[in-house]
Amino acid sequence: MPKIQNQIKLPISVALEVVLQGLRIRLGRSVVTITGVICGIAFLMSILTGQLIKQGVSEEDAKRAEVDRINNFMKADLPTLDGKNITLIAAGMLSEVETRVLERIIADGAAGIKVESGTESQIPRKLTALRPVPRDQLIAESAFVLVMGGDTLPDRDWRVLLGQTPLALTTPGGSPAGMLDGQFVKLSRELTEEELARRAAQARKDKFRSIWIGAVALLVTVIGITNAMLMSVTERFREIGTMKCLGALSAFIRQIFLLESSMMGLSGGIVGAIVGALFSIIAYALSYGISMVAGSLPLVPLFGFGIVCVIVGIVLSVVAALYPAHVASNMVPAHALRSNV
Amino acid sequence: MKALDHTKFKALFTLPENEGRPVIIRGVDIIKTYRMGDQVTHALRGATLDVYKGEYLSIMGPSGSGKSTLFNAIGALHKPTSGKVYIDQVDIAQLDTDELAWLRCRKIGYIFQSYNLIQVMTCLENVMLPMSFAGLDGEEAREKAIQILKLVGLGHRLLHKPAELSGGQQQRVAIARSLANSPEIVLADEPTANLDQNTGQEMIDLFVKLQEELGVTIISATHDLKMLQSSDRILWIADGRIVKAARPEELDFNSEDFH
Ligand SMILES: Nc1ncnc2c1ncn2[C@@H]1O[C@H](COP(=O)(O)OP(=O)(O)O)[C@@H](O)[C@H]1O
Ligand SMILES: [Mg+2]
Repeated sequence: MPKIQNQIKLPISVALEVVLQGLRIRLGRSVVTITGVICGIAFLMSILTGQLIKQGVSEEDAKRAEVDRINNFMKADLPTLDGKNITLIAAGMLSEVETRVLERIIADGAAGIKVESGTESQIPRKLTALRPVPRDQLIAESAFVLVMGGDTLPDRDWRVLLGQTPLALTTPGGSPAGMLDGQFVKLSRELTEEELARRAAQARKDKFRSIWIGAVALLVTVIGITNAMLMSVTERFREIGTMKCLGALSAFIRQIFLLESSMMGLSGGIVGAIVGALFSIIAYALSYGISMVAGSLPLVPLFGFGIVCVIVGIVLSVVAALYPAHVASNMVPAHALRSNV
Repeated sequence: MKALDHTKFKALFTLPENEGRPVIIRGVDIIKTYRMGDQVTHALRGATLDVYKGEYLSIMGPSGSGKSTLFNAIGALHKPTSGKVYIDQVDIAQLDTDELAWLRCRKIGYIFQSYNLIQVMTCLENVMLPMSFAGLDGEEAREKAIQILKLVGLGHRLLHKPAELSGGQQQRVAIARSLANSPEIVLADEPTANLDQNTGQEMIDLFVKLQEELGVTIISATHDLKMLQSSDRILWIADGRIVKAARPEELDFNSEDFH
């Protein structure tokens, strides 16, 4: 008697095939939809990249100012470095600013930098004028001793070392255990409380602004994608209804839409992230100069933001397609048959 | 639930020689009302009919009399406003969406008045689509689809898109598609409306062959005299009701009713 069975669930590969075919055949249409995704994601990515560049540029500005300050400070005591040797004692990894100070010293004509053999690894490779020497030859014939790096000072016989030199400068936070205060000149500068507060306020303001702009970018993206997806359902009402007449399960129809939208989200997200990043880079390069932007743009966070943007593109596309997919999968098959629909 | 009372319509529409024949589709007092805003259309006002297993049934009626609406109701493509539809003695209102999908896929082959081919697919893909819904894929499906398309005379148009074909050719693709999953029932809504004389005759021959050799039940709405003459039985629909049943031998096709 009743021989009615449940319709089989199709493997996802069938849905994928239908989707790929649909995307290929409706290429023009798909491009329009994907363009919506691209615009939204490019907007988002350009904002994020812009923030990165601005942050990088302002950090770079601060670094340059700090290098200038330290150099001027040293020049006041040592008008010329021509042909002189310098001893560097590395207390931990050298910072970017410290490295640049050393580069500047070399550029100003210093003969070389002596470092203790075995500590070279703490000094960035790009400093080429290094001369590793044994510990007891460190100070001899040095114009001055520089102590750099962020860690506590290594255990040395400082009194003996410094007794032979005309000048000892340090950049780390503290001088060795209270005993040599008079002989160290501090190069680094602590920020005043007022400066710290101002920086924190600026950071809060920037953060708020980028969140706000990001939210607007997301909203634009959501609206663009939802609209595109709704259009693509309306356009295919007849086709979807026909498939339902022929025995397609609602789940299959839903799958088609969600697959299609995630693929559009993926491709639109990738293109959008690239376009957005390029747009920002070019725009900032025009105002700050290419080298400034290139030097200050951190690639790892940029790449990270790119991935975030692609994921956002996929998620938003799928979310935007949920409602249209629901409408399409629940339509009454006969609705497709009226020729005027 | 209202108890079924078939005696009333049996007296009216069951010809004596059909008494006791197995019924494959039974529609009881089907009412379908369309509402679009304020506008209400009573497309079916209580249509009652039996379709016998293996018969070739024609349904006649003026345009707008409710033929397509009746097809969609007995073909499980929409729910009637009230009334019952039984397919193989199963009340289809009791079926869930998966079971309905199975029914549409395996049991019934549809030929729609407006073809409803998938425009983005080739003829071959259109015919293979219901096969893939039934789980038949790959080379086997392809072979079968090609065979069916050859049967309807489209062996040389396999890779064309519907838009590249004439109306008659599109209709033949639609017929091929309806046969994809070897259905027990073929529901054809004015299948020869857009065909030329010769093709129309080929299609009638195909229907007769399907019916006689494979025992397929064929239900077709038509005005085509030749189709009417080839069928086993004719039902008249007027204003949303089945009003008359007859065998073609009993009718005078030269009379005013048919012109
Ligand atoms: N989806 C629909 N919405 C509103 N009215 C409809 C719909 N389908 C059919 N009708 C109306 O119902 C009546 C019967 O239509 P139909 O079943 O298509 O008749 P036929 O196929 O015999 O020409 C007509 O008046 C038609 O306009
Ligand atoms: Mg009709």
